[in-house]
Amino acid sequence: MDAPRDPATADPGPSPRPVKPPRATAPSSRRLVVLLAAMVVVPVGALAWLGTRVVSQQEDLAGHRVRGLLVDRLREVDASIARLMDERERELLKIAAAVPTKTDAIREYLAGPGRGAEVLVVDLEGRVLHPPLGAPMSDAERELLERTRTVWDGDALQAAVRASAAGEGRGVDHGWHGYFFGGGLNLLLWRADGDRVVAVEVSRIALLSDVVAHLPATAVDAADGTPSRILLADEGGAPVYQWGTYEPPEGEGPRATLALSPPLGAWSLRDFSPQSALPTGLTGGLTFNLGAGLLAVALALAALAVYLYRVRTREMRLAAQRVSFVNQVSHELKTPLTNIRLYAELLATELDVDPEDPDADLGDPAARHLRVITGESQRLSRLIANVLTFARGQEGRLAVRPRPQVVDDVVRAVRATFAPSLDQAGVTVQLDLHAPDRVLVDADAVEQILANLLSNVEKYARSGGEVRVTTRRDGDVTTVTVADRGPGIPAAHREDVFLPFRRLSDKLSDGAAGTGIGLDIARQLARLHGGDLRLVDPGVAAPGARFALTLHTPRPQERAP
Amino acid sequence: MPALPRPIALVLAAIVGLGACAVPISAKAQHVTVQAGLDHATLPADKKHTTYLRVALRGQEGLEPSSRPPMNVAIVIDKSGSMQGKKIEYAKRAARAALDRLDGRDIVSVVAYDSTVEVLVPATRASDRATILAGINRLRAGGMTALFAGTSKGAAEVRKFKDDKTIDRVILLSDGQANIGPQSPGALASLGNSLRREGIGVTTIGMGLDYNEDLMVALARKSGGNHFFVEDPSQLAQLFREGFGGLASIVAQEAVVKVTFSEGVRPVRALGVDADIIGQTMTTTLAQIYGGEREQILVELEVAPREAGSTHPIARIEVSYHDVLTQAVDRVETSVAAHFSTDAAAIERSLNREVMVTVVERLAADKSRLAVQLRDQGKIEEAQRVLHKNKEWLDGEAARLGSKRLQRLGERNAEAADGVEDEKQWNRTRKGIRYDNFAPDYDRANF
Repeated sequence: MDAPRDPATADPGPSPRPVKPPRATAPSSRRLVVLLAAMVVVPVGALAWLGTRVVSQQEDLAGHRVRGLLVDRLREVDASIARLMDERERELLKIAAAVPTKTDAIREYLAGPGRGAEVLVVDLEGRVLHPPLGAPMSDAERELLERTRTVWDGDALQAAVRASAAGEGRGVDHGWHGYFFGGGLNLLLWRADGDRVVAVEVSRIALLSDVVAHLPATAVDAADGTPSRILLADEGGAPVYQWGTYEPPEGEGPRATLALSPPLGAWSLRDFSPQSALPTGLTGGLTFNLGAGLLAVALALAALAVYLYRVRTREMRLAAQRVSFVNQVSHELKTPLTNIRLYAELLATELDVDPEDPDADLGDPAARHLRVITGESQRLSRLIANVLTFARGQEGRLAVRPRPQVVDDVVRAVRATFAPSLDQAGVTVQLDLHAPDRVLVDADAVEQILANLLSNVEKYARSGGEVRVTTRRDGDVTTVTVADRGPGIPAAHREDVFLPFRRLSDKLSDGAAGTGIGLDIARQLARLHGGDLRLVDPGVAAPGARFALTLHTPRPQERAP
Repeated sequence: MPALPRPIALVLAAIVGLGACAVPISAKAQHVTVQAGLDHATLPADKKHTTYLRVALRGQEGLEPSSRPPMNVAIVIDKSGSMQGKKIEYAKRAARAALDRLDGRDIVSVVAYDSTVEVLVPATRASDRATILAGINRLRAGGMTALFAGTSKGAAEVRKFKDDKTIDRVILLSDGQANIGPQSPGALASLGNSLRREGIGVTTIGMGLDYNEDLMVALARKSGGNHFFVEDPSQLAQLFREGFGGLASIVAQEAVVKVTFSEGVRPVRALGVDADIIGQTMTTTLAQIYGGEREQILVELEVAPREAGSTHPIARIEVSYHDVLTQAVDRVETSVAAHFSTDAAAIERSLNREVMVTVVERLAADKSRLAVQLRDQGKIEEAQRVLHKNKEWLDGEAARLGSKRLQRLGERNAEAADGVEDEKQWNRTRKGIRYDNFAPDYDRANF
């Protein structure tokens, strides 16, 4: 039988397919970076969003206020226009009051003191008294009738007169009446005079001209000297007149609009002001403050993130150092251990004793002592192997290297190694092997796994007196079961046992030594080998612990000659 | 029969003379002379006939400059982008030239408009030359053309110092199309109307070939002002000098001419002036009468047939005007009668050459106005035909009446006919025709 290779001194062969161990170390630092970055970005982002909302709300508020101011200014202009209209109203009332009754007299009056006014006289029944319909008329009078057709042909003016008298009730005997002609609003000033209504026409153009004459010329800006432009627009929104030194660029809309007071309600005033004239100094300062605040917060958070990162990496470094220290120590221990084993073997040869032979004569004290030395040094080897494996696992360098082997042979070799110590513990090993084929398997890994399991049996399940090892092969999967008759593992701890550095409660491991990493290593190796190590529920009938080791063991390929 | 005393004899002779035939009668008033007459003093007796009545008002010239009325003028200048360069400089020069014709009696203001209106010189006494010149110098060309607003602001400046004594004018200078505010000829005519009622006349000067002549003519005509077409801006200063001289020569304002027609006489239409014809009465008002110039009102009449050998009154003319020198309202009355005959030769002999020339002129103006309408509709050949026919007719009448003026008008019609087809040429031609149609036959430029 081949001497089992000592996992501690075996040198690693050519590199197999590397498989990542389940517990990752390098990606965790990347995840850490991501988390810390998020810790900085998310609050800053949230603050920035909130801040910009506040700023834009402030801007809106400022905009409203400015618009309010602009509308106030437009109202002032409207008021001055209203005063102009009042004046015109008074003038026209005087004319209306002096209009005579007879057509000829009216004509004479209008040619003279009436100063060319255009006058329409209707009675309350809807008849036109002047200009005289049906009698000879001048062209101008004909045109007047044409223009005002909508007023006298129907009841419009009379209705307005009646409505006004009824509404106010205080004997209102005059008012404005608007009608549309020539593309816009024209006005009549009507005056109720007993049984007739005298209306003096104000042509749209004359009105516009009056208003334009009344409004300021270019040089006038806002009281505080800020450039602006105010525009008087007609019924269709087309500009009639504008003043102010600011020239709005093409397509810029008005900042404030105000319809004129009646009777000129169809016209409107519009204010154009440059953006710079509006109080944006407010927003500028606010934006600056916001930016500075955000920057401060971002810096603080970034500093915190950096600190946390360094702390964490230091921890990680320390942990790595610890592992690497243990690794180094173990490596250091290997050399003297190799020497011990070497000389023990030499001694065995000289004494002509086979320390591993279970049937050897135990009467010879030298042989007995040699057996102890060999056994203990082997155990030491296994311990060191475990630690090194564990360390490699931590560093992500654990790997399995399947080679064509026979699983049953490996099991037998392990049993041979453990025979002395199990014997001493009073535990018999029963073998039930059914995997005699040559398959791809990492013998060292299997040895280490089984060694750990058997060592556990020796430590914790002596009371059972027996351990049963069975092998079975199903296609590419080989199953090895190790079942003892010890106290078993309570259900609550079934998963716990596999965690590193965990040993069961004191009562079970009383007096037993152990690093607590055996099962963790065993499972890692099993999983690396494409399988798993599980604790199987033995059932009520058979007490004790029962471990099932599954391995992925395909048949070796035919090699080309 | 004993010999009559001399005065009575003279009077009798006068009466006989008057009764023999209808003679155009002049009546002299203070500063305005009124002359009224028909194109033919003798009319055909046996049929209905169209005849023309002319009422001419002439202002006395050569009156003392010191007694002239104060002028109250706003000069409104277009400073839109198209005026940049030489044009605005010439305009400034013209405004300065105007200042030379004004003195301490007069009020002047200078308004400039583009997209907005700038009052360069608010209404100021013309003696304050430094301020006015400084204002004129500030004139810079720039934006769009708010012609309506500019004119309104000019009128506002005039209103500041307007009273009974002043001669009130807005002189509007533009080289382009109005594009801000009311800009149709109708709208500007309406503005002219309302300003006329206030007694503010607008004289419009179109510079170059890009201005809107319909707009400018409408504004001037309705407001009682005059219109000028200046193709070469370097002529502006001279125009202003003459124009202001004309303003200073005004002897009468608001001359109301009321013509009452006798039975059997139907007034058809007035030619060349706006008049109100109601029944048998025609009324028209002339905004002003310049010293040394003549205003002519022409009415087309339809006269019913009468007994041969009879004489019948045709119309009674009443003129009242505001004399600017005496500040009083003067009245003049005159009348016109006609003799009816079947003798063609007699009718021929009774031709009043002067009246006939005016009639032909105004009828020719009607034709050229029609030609403009046709050309506006795109009917180029028809327009040309009308103008050619006009020229032929004018040539004929010019020969018959021995009138150089009609001959010149005929030539202008021929030139116009040549300028109908090409777009650019037509632009100039059209402005020329509209100016001719509107311009009264003054001897000099009168603002």
